[in-house]
Amino acid sequence: MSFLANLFARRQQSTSAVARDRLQILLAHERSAGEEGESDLLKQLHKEIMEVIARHVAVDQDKVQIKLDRGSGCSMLEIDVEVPQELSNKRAS
Amino acid sequence: MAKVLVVTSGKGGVGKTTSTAALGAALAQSGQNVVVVDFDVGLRNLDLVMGAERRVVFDLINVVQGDARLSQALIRDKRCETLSILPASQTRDKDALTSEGVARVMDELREKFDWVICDSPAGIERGAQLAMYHADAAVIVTNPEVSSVRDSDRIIGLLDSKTQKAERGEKIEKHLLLTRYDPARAARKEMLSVEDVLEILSIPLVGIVPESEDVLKASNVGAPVTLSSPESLPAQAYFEAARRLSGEKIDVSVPTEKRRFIDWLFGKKGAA
Repeated sequence: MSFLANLFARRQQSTSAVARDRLQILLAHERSAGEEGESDLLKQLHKEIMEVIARHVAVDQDKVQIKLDRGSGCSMLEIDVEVPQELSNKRAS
Repeated sequence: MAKVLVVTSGKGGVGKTTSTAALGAALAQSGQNVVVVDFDVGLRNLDLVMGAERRVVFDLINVVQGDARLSQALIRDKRCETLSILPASQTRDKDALTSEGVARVMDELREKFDWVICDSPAGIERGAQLAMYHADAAVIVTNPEVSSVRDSDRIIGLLDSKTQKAERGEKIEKHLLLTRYDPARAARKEMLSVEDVLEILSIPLVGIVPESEDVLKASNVGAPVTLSSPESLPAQAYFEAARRLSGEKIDVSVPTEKRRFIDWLFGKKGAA
């Protein structure tokens, strides 16, 4: 019976519908994340955040990670800065 | 006022060159002055598809670099006197096309013609971006197939950001040309339908060109399909698309073969 049900279910979804659904999901993702404008924005953010941090602490370029996730409901900007060891020690004492 | 039109797609092999030739010829057949410009440096084919391959002396790069005058490089079509072609170079290096040089040639072409139709190379690199940069309008050639639709979406993004119009904050006109469409397969839901593609790309439709033997026959003999078999379904689709590009408001229909009994009896294919 389940075999018949499977057969029936597979019949219902046409290949063109599969193609359409796959494209819609893929393009929604690519339009929000894959644009060149976005990477320009990230580069700019990275540069300016580095400048602000550099005024106070010496941080390595590679120790700053910036990510932007765009969801349908909300977007999240994630900034991850690794602070040098001696500074965190100074603050603690 | 001349209009610059880029025929682009991202993906290769979807029918950019065929469509450039057919649309260019269709517009020229309506009496307008048209030039088709091949931007595919290194892989030029527009001259071959239009049957002008043995008449190429100078090319776009010669003109861009100032080695030849525009009038020396333009080839006038023998079948349609309002149609000209500016071929690309077959051998030279792609970087020979400078932005300033292209801008100068485009200005000169705008003065001479009503329509300047640029056949873009495939891809999204510099060559494709140079071809689209000066365009007022774009025809995005798409096949009802997943990879083509995805690449068209990328190209639409580039048209909205990397063209002169976009840089000036203006909108570039975009038209979807669906090619190699098979209405029977779409009806059986084996192929993305016109509605599916329109829903995904959300740009206005300028024409539906059916998959047809006539397209290959036309390129075999080096003629735009609108000149070699004007009664065929693809030619009719291109004629209608050309009228829409000229601003006429006509509904887009799915082209289907209508064979009269008498034609069927004699094995002759009739067109709608």
